[in-house]
Amino acid sequence: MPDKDLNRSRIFEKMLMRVQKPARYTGGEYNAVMKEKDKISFRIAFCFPDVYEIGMSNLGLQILYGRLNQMEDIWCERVFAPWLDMEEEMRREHYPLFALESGDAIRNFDIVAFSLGYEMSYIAMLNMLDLAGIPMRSAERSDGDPFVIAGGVCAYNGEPLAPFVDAFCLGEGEEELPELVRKIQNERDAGRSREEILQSLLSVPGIYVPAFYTIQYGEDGTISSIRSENGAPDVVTKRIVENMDDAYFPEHMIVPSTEIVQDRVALELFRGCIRGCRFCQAGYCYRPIRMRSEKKLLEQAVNTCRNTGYQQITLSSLSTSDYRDLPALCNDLSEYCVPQNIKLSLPSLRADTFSGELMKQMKNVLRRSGLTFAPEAGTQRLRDAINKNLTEHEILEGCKAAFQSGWNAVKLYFMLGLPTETDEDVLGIADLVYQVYLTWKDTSPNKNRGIRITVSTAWFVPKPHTPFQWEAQITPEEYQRRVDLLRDAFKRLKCVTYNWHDVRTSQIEAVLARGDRRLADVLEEVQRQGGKLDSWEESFSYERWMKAMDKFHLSIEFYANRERNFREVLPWDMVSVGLRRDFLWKERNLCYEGKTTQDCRKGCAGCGANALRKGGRCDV
Amino acid sequence: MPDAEQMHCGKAAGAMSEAYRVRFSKQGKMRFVSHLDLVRTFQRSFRRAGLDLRHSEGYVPHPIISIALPLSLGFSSTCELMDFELIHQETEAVIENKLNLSLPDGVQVTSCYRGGEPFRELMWVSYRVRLFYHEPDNREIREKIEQFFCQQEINVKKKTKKGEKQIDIVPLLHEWKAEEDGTGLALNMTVHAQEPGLNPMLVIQAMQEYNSELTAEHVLYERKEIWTSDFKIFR
Repeated sequence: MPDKDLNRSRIFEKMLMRVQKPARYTGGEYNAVMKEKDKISFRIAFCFPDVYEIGMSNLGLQILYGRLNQMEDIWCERVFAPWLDMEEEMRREHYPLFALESGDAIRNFDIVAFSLGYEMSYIAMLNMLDLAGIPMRSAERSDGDPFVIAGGVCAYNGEPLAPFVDAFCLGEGEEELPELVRKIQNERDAGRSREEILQSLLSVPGIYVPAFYTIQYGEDGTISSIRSENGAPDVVTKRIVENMDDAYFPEHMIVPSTEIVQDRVALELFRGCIRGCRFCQAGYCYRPIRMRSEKKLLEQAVNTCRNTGYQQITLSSLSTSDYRDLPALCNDLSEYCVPQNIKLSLPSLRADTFSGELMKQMKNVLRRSGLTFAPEAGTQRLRDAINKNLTEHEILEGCKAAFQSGWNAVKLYFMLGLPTETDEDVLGIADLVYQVYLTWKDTSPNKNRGIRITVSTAWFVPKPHTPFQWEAQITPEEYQRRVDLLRDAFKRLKCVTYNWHDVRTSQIEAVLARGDRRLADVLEEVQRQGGKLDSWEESFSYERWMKAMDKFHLSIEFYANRERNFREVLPWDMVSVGLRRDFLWKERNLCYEGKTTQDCRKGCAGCGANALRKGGRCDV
Repeated sequence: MPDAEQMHCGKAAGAMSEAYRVRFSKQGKMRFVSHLDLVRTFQRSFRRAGLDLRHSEGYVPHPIISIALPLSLGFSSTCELMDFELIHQETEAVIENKLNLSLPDGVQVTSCYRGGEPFRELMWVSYRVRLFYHEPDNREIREKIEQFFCQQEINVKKKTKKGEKQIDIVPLLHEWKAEEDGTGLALNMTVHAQEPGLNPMLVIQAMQEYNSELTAEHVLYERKEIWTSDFKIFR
């Protein structure tokens, strides 16, 4: 090994010996893709802006990693945010951010791609660019620098990151990303300049190049116009995978050698959600509904378990009990799993379709974990307003079925700060929980073990592309007041543990979720002042955000706590996820009228997402 | 095919489990995987290999495997031992082959056999410790190392569960030899394996405390061989 490489690898080893969990930085896992450098002509760094354990639990990463590596002349490697101790070592040793597989510095790669699943990862993304030695702003990058692209749910409003991202990849990347890669590769091989290459990306559907849009602001601080240039379309529509059975699935998932958060095979049952809960960005943004066939899922389950050695399968989707063939799927999976000692996990079950029968049938194979339901609101009035079509009776029946089957721990998720919420609604949570307790008392066959009820309230964050995208988030003081109200009400129930979501991060999340490009300066400043892993308590600092907002004369309240006017130009108006704006506004009004909308299976409400499919029909 | 119910019970009537031992190496990127994670990695590798491990009884059965001597994080080794039982008999060569196809790079089975001495009789371990000095005058360093080892007593502070304890490591050190090795120095030493065990990192630490000039830029630890109480290779 040449001296320089030997030296570098020694420095790396010494760093590894000084940090916690060094295996997060070495790669070498089973099924990790290793390619020979002289046989490849294009390198991609797939960056997940959080630590290894979080990123490796992400199914999207495994899907896109596997899909890109199917292209023989392309090598896609993984990059995760180093933990604070490793970052300190890297900065001290001037060791730039590297990819796990090869250990090479990513600033020499062709594409650096970020997966943006949540707003609190934006700072980590900027910090990773800094650690990599890649110029943070697109405008500062030259022909030798990688293209920085970003995708994931947050790309549907990526405006706060617009100056840092060369191109956003909107929607599902299984086909879009390879097209983007080929385009950049071909243009680069033809000797085109950076500008020319970005221009050529306009021919790839679903790609949004922020540099081609100029935003102008009015005196009141809102956007006065969004103008597209260079032939860019006024609106870029997300891509979808037409047929889930044909869509790539990573049957050779990377198997970490160390413990991560989700150590199992995740089967993706379907995309989108029929329910239309008005607060839920994922439910809307992943429409139109497309299901995988039971046969395909079974095949994927068997192959993936065989290739990985995992002993647990999760049936993953936004609302698993809405999968049409769930009983049949569970039955067939059980036949495979039981003799192999493989456990099944069914998260995301709705209380109203929670079937005691199914649970009984699955007793041998179901992973015994706590049961989770998400009523979201404490009163029927509010549940109707947010279109969470769940009655108290259904919730209690679901709990009853669970208790009778032997569950003695249940988690209940709620939100505080939902539109039209009153104190009565807040106290309604305590009443509902008390009813759950009484149900347990009446129906549990074995009360000796007691009941553990965990109640969790999140602070509602209005999200783009939902009916609540015009709403104001409640202030931190108001949120705290409601939390205290609820805490007080829980005092009489000893079996209840009440967890409330951290006050401050949710407000920053609300700022970023509906933010515009002016926030880019703030993000850069937060990173410069030491922001690294904002989704981690150890690293997040509200003061740092406040100071950065002040420096650029921007207000947290303007972004988070202000109600938008219907006519207001929204920062994400150049992005379409297929939903009609008037549909969203209609749903918003129905909320204020206290009226519900039926789920897609009961009748189409006309959201517009069906038009994204050939034939215009959703697979409900 | 055996009844599913019987599989759960591990040892069903008439189903005998087959006990095996493998000797394996742990190198490269796998050096940084902890003992517990290595166990997990092996469990999965067996499944990928299609080799059915005997499981423990109880509600959540887990595969039973047992590794002889834990290896410190960062160390490489060519003499690790692991015991396990399979539900169905397999030839040793087949086990070795199938496992090697299913293990991540860095862990390799070098032999598979039946029987073997109980792990508690593993008495001594040999390490090759490579020391890299900034400006090495290897002969001078070797002399200083010799002085260190020639002491009657070498006391070190050892961290135990109850806190810190002062122990003399000389009785736990069977033999040592320093030699030049490329650009560095290699210190071959044989130390007591368990009850109590002596970690070579403690020896190096003591050496550095004895004479700060012996503090190396970089140290690499490799476990080379394991021995019985009368210094036969432990199998």
